[in-house]
Amino acid sequence: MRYLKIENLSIKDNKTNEILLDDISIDIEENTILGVVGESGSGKSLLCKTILGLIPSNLNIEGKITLNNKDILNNSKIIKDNFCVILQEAINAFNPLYTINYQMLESIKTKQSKKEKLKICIKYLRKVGLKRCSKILKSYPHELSGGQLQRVMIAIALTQNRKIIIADEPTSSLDSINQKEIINILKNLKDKTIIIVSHDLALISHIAKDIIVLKDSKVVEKADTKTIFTNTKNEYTKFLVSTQENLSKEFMSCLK
Amino acid sequence: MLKIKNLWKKYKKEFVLKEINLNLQKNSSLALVGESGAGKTTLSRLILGIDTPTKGNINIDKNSMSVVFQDYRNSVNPLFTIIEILKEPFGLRKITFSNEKLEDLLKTFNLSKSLLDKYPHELSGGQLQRVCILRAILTKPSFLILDEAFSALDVSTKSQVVTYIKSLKKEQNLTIFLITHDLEVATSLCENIKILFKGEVVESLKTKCLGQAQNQYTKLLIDSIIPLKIKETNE
Repeated sequence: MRYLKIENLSIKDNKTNEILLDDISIDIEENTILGVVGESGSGKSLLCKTILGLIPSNLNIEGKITLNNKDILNNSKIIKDNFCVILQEAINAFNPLYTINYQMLESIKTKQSKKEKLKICIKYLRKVGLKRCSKILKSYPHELSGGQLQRVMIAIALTQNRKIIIADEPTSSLDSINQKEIINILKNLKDKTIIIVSHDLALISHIAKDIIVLKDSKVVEKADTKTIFTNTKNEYTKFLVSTQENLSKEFMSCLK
Repeated sequence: MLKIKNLWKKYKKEFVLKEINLNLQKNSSLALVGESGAGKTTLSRLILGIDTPTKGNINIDKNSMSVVFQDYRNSVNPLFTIIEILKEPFGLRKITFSNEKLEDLLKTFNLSKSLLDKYPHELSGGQLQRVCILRAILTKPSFLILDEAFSALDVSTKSQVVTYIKSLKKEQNLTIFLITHDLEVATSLCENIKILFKGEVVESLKTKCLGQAQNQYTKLLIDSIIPLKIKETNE
């Protein structure tokens, strides 16, 4: 039995009749990392939103998404209990008028005293590599750097203790030092299932066990990471890998 | 083309740039690499004369220079269509506009012709950024300044654009000054690299000698690049 299963998922815009996702089927094993790659406009983010049940009413959904054989498409309770999300632009994900402290406490829904909740917050802030946590808790979002905010967002996702993390371009607004650290944090999370979306193939090759390649709303290839990077039959995947190689080639040769 | 001598810049009480020296000769290329907060944007503002230095001076050859700014949304006039945006520098410099060249470039940059009649807000970030690069290249500059010019492009497009600019460098003897946080782009476009850290150039080296970097910060930066994991999976 598969853990998270997407079957024949299609999404159509009712107004323009445009097909936004076309017959997508994916199986995701528990506690693995799935990478979703594709160029801009290929439907990566929409796929995430669909899994999270965040689809506007003018879009028509067909197909099935199940978690442990339970349908989640129309069941927001299962989604809330099992999923958490890390977004691209950390600065827009926080309310600028409240301190980090307030926003972190707000996201812990269990019945605990405030003191216990604060302990949890600090535990996870440390886990994502932040120092001087009590100072960070007192800050407002604009007082923190992009890298710090991104870490806080991951910490919030972790405090919720959900099984599945959806990460939509979690590092694209960060510089490379922060990027690598955050990718390593995600990679070292045990007992979580992660769906990570990125256009950066190198990053995905570093972290994912399986990969799906999206192009023009369709899945053109799904395979394990090794196959995608060494033995792909698909022309488009070959093209994507070659562009990444082309970009890294010079850099690698300079290091030799 | 560009000469910076003993440049300092102070905001409030803090120096954000300290003793920057650089000399960019004709037909050479230089990348200034640094993470956020290193002072990259400040330096590009000074070079373009938007801001004045606290100390030191900058000499720049503004003839036939093109710039691609970091903020692509704000570097185009929202009331112009894309074709008007692309033609604007030609009016200013009184050079003739070539439609053929434009069509060729649109193809290389993966932009469809139908974009030309649209307005900037109708384009995605990546598309608009490519329009800005296209505008800079169309006038056949001999000196190109790129300030984080590839930030909104996905990897495959970035690779194509970089390859194209590289070919220009060879064919038209283009001088390039690149400001970026992306070491991979820097190494594939430029022969020389300067590493900027907290307002200071901590290391200058030839791109080919990147592996022999001495500075701790440079090493950290090199180490943070995640390479494509093909080798390891082969084993």
